[in-house]
Amino acid sequence: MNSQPIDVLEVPVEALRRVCKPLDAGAGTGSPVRAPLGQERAEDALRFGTRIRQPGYNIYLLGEAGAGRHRIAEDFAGAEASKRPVPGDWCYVHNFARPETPQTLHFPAGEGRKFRSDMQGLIEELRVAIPAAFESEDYRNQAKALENEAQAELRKYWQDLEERAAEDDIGVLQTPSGFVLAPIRKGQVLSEEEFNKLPDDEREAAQAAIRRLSESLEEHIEGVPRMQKHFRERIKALNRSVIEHAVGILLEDLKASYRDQAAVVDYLGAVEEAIVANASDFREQEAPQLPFMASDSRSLFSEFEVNLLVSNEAASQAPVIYEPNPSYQNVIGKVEHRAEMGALLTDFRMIRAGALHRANGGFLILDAHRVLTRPFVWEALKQALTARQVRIESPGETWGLFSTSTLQPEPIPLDVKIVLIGERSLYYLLAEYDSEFLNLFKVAADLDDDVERTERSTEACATLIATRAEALDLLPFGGEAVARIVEERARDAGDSERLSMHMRSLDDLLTEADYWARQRDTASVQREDIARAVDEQRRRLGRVQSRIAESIEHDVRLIDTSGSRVGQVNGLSVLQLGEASFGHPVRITATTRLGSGDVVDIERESELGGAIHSKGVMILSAALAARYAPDEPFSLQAHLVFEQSYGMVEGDSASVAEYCALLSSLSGVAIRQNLAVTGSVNQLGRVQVIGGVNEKIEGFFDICRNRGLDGTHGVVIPRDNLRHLMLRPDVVRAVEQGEFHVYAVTTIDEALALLTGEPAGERDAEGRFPADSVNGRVEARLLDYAEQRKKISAGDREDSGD
Amino acid sequence: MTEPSARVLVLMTESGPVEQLWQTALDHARETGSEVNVLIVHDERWYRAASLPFTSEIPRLGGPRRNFTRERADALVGEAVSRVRRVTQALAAETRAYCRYYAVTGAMLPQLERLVTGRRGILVASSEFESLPICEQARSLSCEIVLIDREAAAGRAAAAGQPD
Repeated sequence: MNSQPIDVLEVPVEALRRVCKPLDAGAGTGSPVRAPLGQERAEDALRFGTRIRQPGYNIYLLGEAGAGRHRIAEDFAGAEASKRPVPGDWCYVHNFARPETPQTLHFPAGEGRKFRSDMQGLIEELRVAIPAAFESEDYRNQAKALENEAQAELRKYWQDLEERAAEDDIGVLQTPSGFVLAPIRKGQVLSEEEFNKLPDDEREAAQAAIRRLSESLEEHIEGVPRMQKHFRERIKALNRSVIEHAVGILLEDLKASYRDQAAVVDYLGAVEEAIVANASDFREQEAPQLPFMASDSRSLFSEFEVNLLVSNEAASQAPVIYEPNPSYQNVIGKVEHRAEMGALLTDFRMIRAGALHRANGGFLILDAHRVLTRPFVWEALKQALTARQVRIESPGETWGLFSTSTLQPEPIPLDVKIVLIGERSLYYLLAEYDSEFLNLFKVAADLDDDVERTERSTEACATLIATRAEALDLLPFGGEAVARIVEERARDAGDSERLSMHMRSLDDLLTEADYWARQRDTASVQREDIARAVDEQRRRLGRVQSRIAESIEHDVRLIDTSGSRVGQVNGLSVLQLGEASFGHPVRITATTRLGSGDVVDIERESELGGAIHSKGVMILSAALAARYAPDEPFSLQAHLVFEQSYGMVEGDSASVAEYCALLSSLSGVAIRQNLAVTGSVNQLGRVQVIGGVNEKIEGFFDICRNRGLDGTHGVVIPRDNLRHLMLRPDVVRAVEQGEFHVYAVTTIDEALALLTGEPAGERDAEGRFPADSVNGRVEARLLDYAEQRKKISAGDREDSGD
Repeated sequence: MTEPSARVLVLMTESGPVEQLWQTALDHARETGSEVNVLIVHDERWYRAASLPFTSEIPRLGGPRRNFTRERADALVGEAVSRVRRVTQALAAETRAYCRYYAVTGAMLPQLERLVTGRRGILVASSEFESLPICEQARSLSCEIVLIDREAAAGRAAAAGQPD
């Protein structure tokens, strides 16, 4: 490992923040931006997914919240929907053959409302025409004639019976519930006494006549229902002929205007049959005895109403529906009920459309997380997509939880493209655990969180800023302001060579900058307004950061920023609290002594160290042994700790610091406390990239600045992190003025040289480190430990008599 | 309280011109300062028929015959009396009059004598009951008989737009 001179390791000012030259935002494009720039893969997927018509090619739009996913989905779906025809209307009507299964009727767009209106008109006319037909003189005469005929028939029978009875001196007495035949004389019923006085033959004759007449009467009584039925049938036939005439005229025109739609004509035929078959029901009813028994004539005609489920009358293209609350009812539709006399009643008029109905023929955009967390929705959605039809059922019925008397409306054919918006983790979970998912959502549109920062993408970003400013009704943004925003996008991406595509944070920054600009009464947003917005955002979320800084300043949390210490180094840590992310220094110490080759990670032993952190410590332990004691027993026991750290420690970005602390402890060479270091290290001593480099540098810078920058303070970072540098302007300014330094290292020796201020030392031709170098002292200490251990081991063997 | 000097009796059956009978009786009661005594006349035919051992009732709606007994006759008479009484009560309430009820047969009137003895008696009846023994008995007790012609009453009701 070759060590570089310190001045070579210092990062030049221009590399600390890749600034953007002023950009002319120009005007917004005036049209929606399809997708953020640089999202070609996602764009292609969305274009493909929205255009392909085969089933199963629904889209899952992967991306983090705030990435503008909804707008992107709506824009792409809208673009495709504008090329598609307006889908038709759907109506539910009464099914006369199976009332529990309301029937669907499909119409060209706008025709559904017309049909509903036509049927309403028909009902109004029927309401008048039917009673009028029954009120007509002609009908009444015919009905009366039939009634008279029936009554005459009955009367004649009774007359005959009474005459026949009278011939035999028998009277027919009528009780409320029947008839009694008794012997009479001179119009008077005989009492028992009078009857017994009659001669025997008269008594026998009277009784025989009563038996005979009784049999005849019974025969007649048995025939009365038939007579009545016959009468009713004749009345019914009369009613039918009257109503057929009245209804036929009204329906003829309606059938003619829908002659091209066989289903509608069939339905109208069923309507006619139903009216004719129930003709008498449509006559004006007498007032009921009790109010709740009233059968409103409106309800009689309600069977002929039309439930216009979906109307696309006003649409000019295929629908694009976003359902923000994808509950089962909102997606699949529902059958409502009304409470009546303690019972829940429903009919086809109470069927309500769901988002699937409204989006049929177009696109339905749903949030994956919400769909998955609303009961029954996911299964119902998959079922609808698989069956390619939407069937309205109550979830309880579908899942057999309970059964109430309800409707089972005919399913409606479904031709909809679902765009499911969700996080990547959900996509992968669904792909892993739901066997149907990939069959139904064949198109994954994966939005990048950030894009490469090129001249083209930077210009596109400027256009995007103008478009969003226009959409949000903000002040125009000056060129310097746009440049500053581009720099912030790079900072948000955590990479000077990439630009964040997080749309919500962009909108927030634009909106807040506009606010600050308006506070200054300016006509446009300038660079300083962006800076103010950024600073204010940080300040609003900076409570914890301030507390940590205060505790360091007051020596509650011990951090040295001057002098040198053996076995003690300033590491750097990043805290992520919600949207706030900030760095701060943490003291890492190492102690060493003779032992059996263990590097003890106290964080892990106390169960405060995460797996990655533990791995980092194991790697540096292996690197240490391999480099300094390759041929000797590794006879060291070392302890590493993050001082005053009481929470979880995760990540391997402190492994360079830990390595240096160990080497300092072993060599006895002190480490500069005016420097902090971050980086991970591999087994060969190569320093590797870490995350949050900007926050870490700024965290140490803030502490040093608070204590007073003296030109010696600085941070050591992995060289591989140079591209990620997008430091705050004040940090850059301090470096520019020589008050602060940022060093980039590639090897552990470079880091060691910087931190100790002494050469790390390289092996000579004989493979030995210079004795006075840091590495030489480390090696000497480890060899000494090995020697001591051998002696101890030999002594142990002698004591045991081996 | 002094006893009224007159006693107005009205013979009622299910089939008579009830309203006219009531109104006539009421007029007389008001004129004489007395109250109306409603005599609801039984149809004796039921008892006669029930006394015969071989009579039976053939149900109007079909089904097996039932022996026509004294109990059945009582029930029929009771129902008829109740119906007449309900109609009369409604009329009394309508005209804000008070009346007493007596269930009687057309052939015997043991109470009649007690009711009219020592007073002026007025008996209002439908003309078709003129031949009933009760009318004869009333005459023998010097009651005034006021007969209402059923058909004439029906004609007056029709002319006045009232139900028959």
